[in-house]
Amino acid sequence: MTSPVSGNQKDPERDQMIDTYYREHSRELWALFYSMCSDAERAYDAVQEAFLRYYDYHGEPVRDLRAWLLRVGQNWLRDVARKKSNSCGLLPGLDDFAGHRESAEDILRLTERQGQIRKAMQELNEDDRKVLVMKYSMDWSAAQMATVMDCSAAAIDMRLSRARRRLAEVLTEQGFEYE
Amino acid sequence: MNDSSNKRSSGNIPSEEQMDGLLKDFFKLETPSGLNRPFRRPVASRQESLAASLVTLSTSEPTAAPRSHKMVVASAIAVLAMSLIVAMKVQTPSSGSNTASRTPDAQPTETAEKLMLVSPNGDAPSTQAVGEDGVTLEETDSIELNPQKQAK
Repeated sequence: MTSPVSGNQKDPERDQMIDTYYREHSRELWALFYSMCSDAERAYDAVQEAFLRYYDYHGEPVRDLRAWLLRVGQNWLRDVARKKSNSCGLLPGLDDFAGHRESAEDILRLTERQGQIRKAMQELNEDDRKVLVMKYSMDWSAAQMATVMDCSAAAIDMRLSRARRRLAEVLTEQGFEYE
Repeated sequence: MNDSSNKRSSGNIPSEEQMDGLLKDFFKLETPSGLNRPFRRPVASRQESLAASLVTLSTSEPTAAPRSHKMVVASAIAVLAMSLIVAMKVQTPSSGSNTASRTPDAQPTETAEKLMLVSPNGDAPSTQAVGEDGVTLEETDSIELNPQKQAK
């Protein structure tokens, strides 16, 4: 994944390349950032920040854009984590319910469930979170995940199964009510 | 760790299918909707506005500076001219007679000569007739003006 052009401020080809790359890889980057911080909004901000910095970047040509974006996003997440230990504290994901017909009680219950699962996800290690995010957010196959995580597909299946079980245990310890 | 043990729900621990559905629902809500939108470039517009403001500044500075410079020069010349005039007037009192003639002592006689009196007695109460009908000024003060009745 190379970026052929870098350094020109007004370069339609470069803009086009960034747009295409964002469309194809922003979700994957979000998943990886999410597995690092367990905060959907912050992970999304990290994706935006990484792409914006690349958009403003006018230095040496980037050989591996994915690795570059990942490094920038990770550094940004570390900086943010240093500045504030918790997210803003607003009810997360409420925007997703806009236009839905759920009652306020249902929305509150769903938000609470989301918070419980998010909290349980934070108890997992980063690799377990990563496979869960790749599987359930990006719907990736074990083979795809194996390429990214540099291991075999069988190892991914094992890790996925272990991560699910571990999450279930944490949720049960928290008194989570399954539907 | 076999599949049958994974898929079996033991006690409060949910089955893998339950967890599968739970995680699918969770990530459906958790994934930001912004990821489906195209890449935004707020920095680009910020840069453009910044560049525009810099251009505005750079173009306005050269015109603003000479204008203020001209104002300063013009006001300095005006002040200089005024002070020159004042200095000239201060330096010439002995040679000119205008300033000397304006001393308080000389003023009454000159003004007395120049002014023309309307009445010889000035502000003294007048007892003499001022008109042909023999009415004095004091008498004119006491005259009451009433609408005249027209003769039928």
